[in-house]
Amino acid sequence: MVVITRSKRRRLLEEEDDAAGLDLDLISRLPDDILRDVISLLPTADGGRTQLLSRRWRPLWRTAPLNLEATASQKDNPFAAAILAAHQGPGRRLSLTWHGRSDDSAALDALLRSPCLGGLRELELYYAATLIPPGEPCKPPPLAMFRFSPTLHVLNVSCRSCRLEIPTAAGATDFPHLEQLTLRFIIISESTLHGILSRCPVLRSLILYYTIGYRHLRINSSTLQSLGVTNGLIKGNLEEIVIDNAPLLERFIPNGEHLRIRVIQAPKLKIVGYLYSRRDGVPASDLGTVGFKGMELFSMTDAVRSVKVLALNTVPTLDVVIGFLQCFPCVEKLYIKAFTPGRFWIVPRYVTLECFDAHLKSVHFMYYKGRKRSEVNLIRFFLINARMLESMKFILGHDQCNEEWVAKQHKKLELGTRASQGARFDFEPDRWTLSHVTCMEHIHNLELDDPFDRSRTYPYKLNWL
Amino acid sequence: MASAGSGDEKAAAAAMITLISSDNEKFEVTEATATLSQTIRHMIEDGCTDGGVPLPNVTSKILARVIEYCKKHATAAAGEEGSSSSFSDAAFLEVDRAFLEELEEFDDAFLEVDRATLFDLILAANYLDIKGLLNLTCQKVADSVKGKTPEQIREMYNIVNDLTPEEEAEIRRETQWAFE
Repeated sequence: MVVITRSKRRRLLEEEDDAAGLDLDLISRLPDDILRDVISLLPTADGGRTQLLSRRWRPLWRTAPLNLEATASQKDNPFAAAILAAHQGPGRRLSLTWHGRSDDSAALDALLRSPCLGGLRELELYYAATLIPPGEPCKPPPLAMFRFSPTLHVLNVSCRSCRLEIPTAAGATDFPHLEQLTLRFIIISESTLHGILSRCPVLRSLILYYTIGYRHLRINSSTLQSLGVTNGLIKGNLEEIVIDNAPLLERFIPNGEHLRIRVIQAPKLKIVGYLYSRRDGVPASDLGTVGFKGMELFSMTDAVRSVKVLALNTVPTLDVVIGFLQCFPCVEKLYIKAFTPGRFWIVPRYVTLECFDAHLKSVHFMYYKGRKRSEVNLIRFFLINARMLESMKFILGHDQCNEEWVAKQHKKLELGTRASQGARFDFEPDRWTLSHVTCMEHIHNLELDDPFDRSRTYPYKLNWL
Repeated sequence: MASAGSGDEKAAAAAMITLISSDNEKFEVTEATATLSQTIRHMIEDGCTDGGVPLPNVTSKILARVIEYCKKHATAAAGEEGSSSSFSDAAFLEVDRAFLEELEEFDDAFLEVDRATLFDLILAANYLDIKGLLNLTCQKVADSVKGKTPEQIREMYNIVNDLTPEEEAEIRRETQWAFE
């Protein structure tokens, strides 16, 4: 049998092209609109260069939807203005970086007001204000950015080395088509934030990453599917998240140690994590809702049965773990960061939990070191009691994944003695750190079914985090 | 017995659509496959698919490939619909992931065609209004052009340069930013 590899097949196809005498200009058979589509998929400069191909191609770039990546500075990028002057619009995507020089403000404003950007679908504003002394606030963003609100599908405003304040006026802006919103290291008031959210009727995913200025976040959205929120780095920022009514919400990735979280209506919630723990949390609630304060549950009257994937940060006591598994009784896949586990001196046997009896198939321990007894006991607890377990994975925090070490762990953990005989055990070195960062970055990727699984995800533009 | 059989056939036939290529070849496809094309979806909605749908702009060779694409992606769409309600299936996460990977591989392999076929597929996707296929094929062309000089692109696609040296100089001056 002759095996034809892909590269060989490609070569054959090229030879076929030549053999058939296909020295015809086939691409020019395509209609202008399609050639424009192709051009707008290209980076800015590549798109511009297509004007030089032939007379047919010359006018196409200036009428193809513009995809522009630029710096709002005459000095760094003297061409942005020239590009905008030459192009007729509409705009498709604008990615604009501003370095915080005050004399560039006018350039930024002029860029945003350019008539050819009308109809813009994607706007990314990056404030990399390394020139501003630390602590000093940035100038507010030009209001001109809100002129695109009627057509935007994607909006991302991110800061690095500075804080940018979203003006109050933004809270009264309608975003009728906005599907994806990202605010990173931004200052926004509670009323402005809720004003914007209430004016996004088709929002599908939202990331609020180290954004401050609001203490409470209340989600009421009939379209939101994915939500990622971190509280600020400083104490006293975001305190409470209430998922009031989110009928389509599937993924909820909160991150922050001092967060109070309440889920009232989220019937499709499947994926939750990484939930933080707090030793001093006070369980107290009279609401018919599920909530967790830090990690202490404060009501379990209505267990969330829809959640299938749960990720927990360090767990301080076994009671907390059990509490969570009672709160989310149908979890099939559990992630636990085990690098500094709490007190686990005794491993209880014959624990009756619906989760152990019927659902839990897979447990991943992140940053497993295998040194402390409490860490080993935590794992033993799952081994002894999880009757449906199919797979247990140990993601190792450092370079220790040699055969000898793994054999030792097998013995230490007594992997042979377990409730589920069919279970499989894998030891894997970690591919990168900053797990919460990576899963946060995948909030917008609605096709990814498990944002915690790092064998599938990849590090993403980390320089912007 | 016969009547029961014909009832089944009727039900099956109701969900089938016949597509007729420019060279008069007939293709039977399910409605789910056919309606990936917005053009055909509209025809079905207007009730004008009896006796087959003639597609005078698409040859049988290209139509066969387009149908191959639609079949695969229609299954994917059906799988997605099913999955949201049957999440309790224990193996769901694994199955879903495997399927997405398979779909990606399918798309990659699907695009391994000669240039003439690629352009024919683009024209067919445009005419039949199949968004996914149009995006996929246009991206393939864009990827082939990315990072290349105008001379390289012309050579690759046999584009005849009919610009005068003066025009060329003018464009280079106007679009200096693209040649930095």
